[in-house]
Amino acid sequence: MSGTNADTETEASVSTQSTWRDFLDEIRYNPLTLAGTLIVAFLFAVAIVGPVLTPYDPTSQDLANGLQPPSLAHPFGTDQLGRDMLTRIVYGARFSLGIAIAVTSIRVVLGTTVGLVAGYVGGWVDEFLMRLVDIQLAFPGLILALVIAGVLGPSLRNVMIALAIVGWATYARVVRGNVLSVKERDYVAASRLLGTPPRRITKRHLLPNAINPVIVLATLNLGTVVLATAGLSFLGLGAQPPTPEWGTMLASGRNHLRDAWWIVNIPGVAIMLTVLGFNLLGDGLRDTLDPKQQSRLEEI
Amino acid sequence: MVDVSRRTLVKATAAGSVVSLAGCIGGAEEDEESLVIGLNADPTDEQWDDFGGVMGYFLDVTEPLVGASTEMETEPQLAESWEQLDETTWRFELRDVEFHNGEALTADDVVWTFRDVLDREAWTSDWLSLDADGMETPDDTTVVFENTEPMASFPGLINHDYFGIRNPNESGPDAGTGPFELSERGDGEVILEPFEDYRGDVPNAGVTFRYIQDPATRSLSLQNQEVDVIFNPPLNDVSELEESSETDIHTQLATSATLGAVNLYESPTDDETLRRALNYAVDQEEIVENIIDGVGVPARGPFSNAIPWVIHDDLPEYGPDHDRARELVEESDYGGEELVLMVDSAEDEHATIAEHLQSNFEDIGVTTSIRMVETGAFYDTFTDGEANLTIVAFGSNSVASDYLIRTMFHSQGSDNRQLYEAEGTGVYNPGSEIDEMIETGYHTFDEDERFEKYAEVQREIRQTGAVVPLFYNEDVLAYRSGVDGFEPHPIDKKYDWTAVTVGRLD
Repeated sequence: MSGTNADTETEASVSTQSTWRDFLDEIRYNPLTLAGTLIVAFLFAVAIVGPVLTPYDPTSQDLANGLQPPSLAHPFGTDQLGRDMLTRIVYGARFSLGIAIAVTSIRVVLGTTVGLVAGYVGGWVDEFLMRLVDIQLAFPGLILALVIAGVLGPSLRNVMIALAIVGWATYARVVRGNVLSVKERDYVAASRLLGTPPRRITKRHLLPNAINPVIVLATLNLGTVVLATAGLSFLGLGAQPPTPEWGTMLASGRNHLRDAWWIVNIPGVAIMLTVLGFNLLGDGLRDTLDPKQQSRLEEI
Repeated sequence: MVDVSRRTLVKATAAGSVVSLAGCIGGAEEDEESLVIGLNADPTDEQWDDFGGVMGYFLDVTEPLVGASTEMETEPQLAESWEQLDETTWRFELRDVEFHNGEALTADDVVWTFRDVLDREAWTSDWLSLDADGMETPDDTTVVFENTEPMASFPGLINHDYFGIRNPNESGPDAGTGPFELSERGDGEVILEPFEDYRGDVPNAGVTFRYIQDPATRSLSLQNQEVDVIFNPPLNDVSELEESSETDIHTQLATSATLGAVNLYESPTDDETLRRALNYAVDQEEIVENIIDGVGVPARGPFSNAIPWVIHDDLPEYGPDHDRARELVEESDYGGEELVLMVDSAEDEHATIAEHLQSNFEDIGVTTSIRMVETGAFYDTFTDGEANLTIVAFGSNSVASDYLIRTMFHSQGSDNRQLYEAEGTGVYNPGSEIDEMIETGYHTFDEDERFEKYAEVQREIRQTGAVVPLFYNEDVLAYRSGVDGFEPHPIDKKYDWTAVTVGRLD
């Protein structure tokens, strides 16, 4: 048994190295993937290091200095309460990326677990879980999130709960499909006959085969979660003032669209860039991790 | 190919120019067809008698018995005269007028209108001290009202929009006697036409009220000449609209005031010393100057200076004095709890003011969190006492603004009644002593005594920090330069459009 384990780990290691090499090739030959990777890397760098570098407090007010256009002292200008927009954008990156990662993680864990259980156990458990998935998918996601956030009350935490609740079903369906295609294969059947516990089979054989589409989906999802969070905050259901969240900044500045363009346009561009970055990166990952897509590209 | 001589070409060009010029001259003639007003509330709201509904045009179609002058004094409207028979009895003599459908106005129509409102809005009975059976019609042109208790300001109270007299045989507000009659209604728009048989001056032009929800869109609609007049443009557009040669601005001190209503029964704002500290932390002039772009008047009390009995100049000033505020915070029982500041999410400026207050309170050592509540749930959340400080704007829709003082600070006022009846508390009603002052003022026929009682209430409210006054509102009306002749009013619903000239250029 120990020899089998060692072989599997070696195979996994080789597979991981190969995937990384493929992804690096993808970055090298696909400028859009490179752009997406750079944008996302830049956003994470801003979120982590930015608050240390900016000299202003995101909430400290200077009314006499309100609505100042971009300048050397305030490269992104100031808002109606005289707060530095660059500082607020930088802090906002933390909120947006943090929420996107948290929500997507919850979706991935929940959806993958449901998908694995449904696909592996089968029978009435599969039926029950998949009907739950159908019910969830029957509702339009953002509308349902609006309702949930509205009922729970306005706060970032409730927005996270709302978005996590509405987005896990797609993962469950994708994972279940992969599990169904893998679980009847000979090496899984052999493993089962040898008495390997289900948890181990899931970990060693089923999950590794289902994880690639999940990673692609999750990366693409990060962008939509950023957009949905900003949307709910714009409607007053998410971050509450004075939290420097991009959607809240858009909402509070919308009446200044004509006389202080920077208040609305800069958070808008930040949201757009973030969504674009995750989408380009997700596309690149899909090209790398999805064999069907990859073989099609090779044919071309 | 047609051969065209130079002379023919010159003639054709000249003729074309003359035709074009004639077209321009013709287009410059004033089009008096209709004045288009952009509103921030839907005039076709099904709740046609609701504050958020058709009030913008309601009083142009129906009229109350008692009118309101621009100096906020009562004047005859549908009632030609009235007299007080005793402490609780009033007799109103009606004018000889017709409804828009041609039927004559009778005393029974007045009684029907009042009973209809009393039936659908049960709380108005308490407000007016009037029961459904407290009205008599000795003849077709006389109505006698019997109040359940002395009610000195009764004639002024029934100037309220609610009591526009309607014809019982018609449904909705299209059965009035006003200078305009309803022509079309629907799709966010109401079109009124001059009522040719109106007893007074027949309006120069029709009026169209059009719902444009977004303030920026309203402003652009005016600048693009899609509408002639708009109420409440975005504050940051006001100076641009004022400076433009094509638009103008009229500002008018309104009967409403914006304030922070402090919850007197929820910890830690149940501590008077802390409430006074909060008042010392606020700079009303800074708020007016920097947040609402000067469109308002720094407040000292909870009621607008447009109301006759308001004693703005006699109310104590608090500051701003952050050192004194910090001392008071130290003296108070405040232990670092987080105060909840609540704001209506539809009120953009209120959210900005809340952020500013939060910063000021933080500076004196008081921590707060801001809670933005959706408009539909806002008032209920406020009267449920869920916040320590709620930013609200309240004003009077009738010439006798007495009801405002009762609504806001009496334990049985609609802002406090729910919690008072359930738990014996309320929101920002200081208690029985203030209740008695309000009741005395409400019922006395001695105007000096009434005003003195209301003055005492204002001083007490200010002294105990039951509110954090912010500013007295100004209504902003932006209009196209050709528009002339409208008569402004401290109550925005009572603007007079009958003498307006549109002066539109095609």
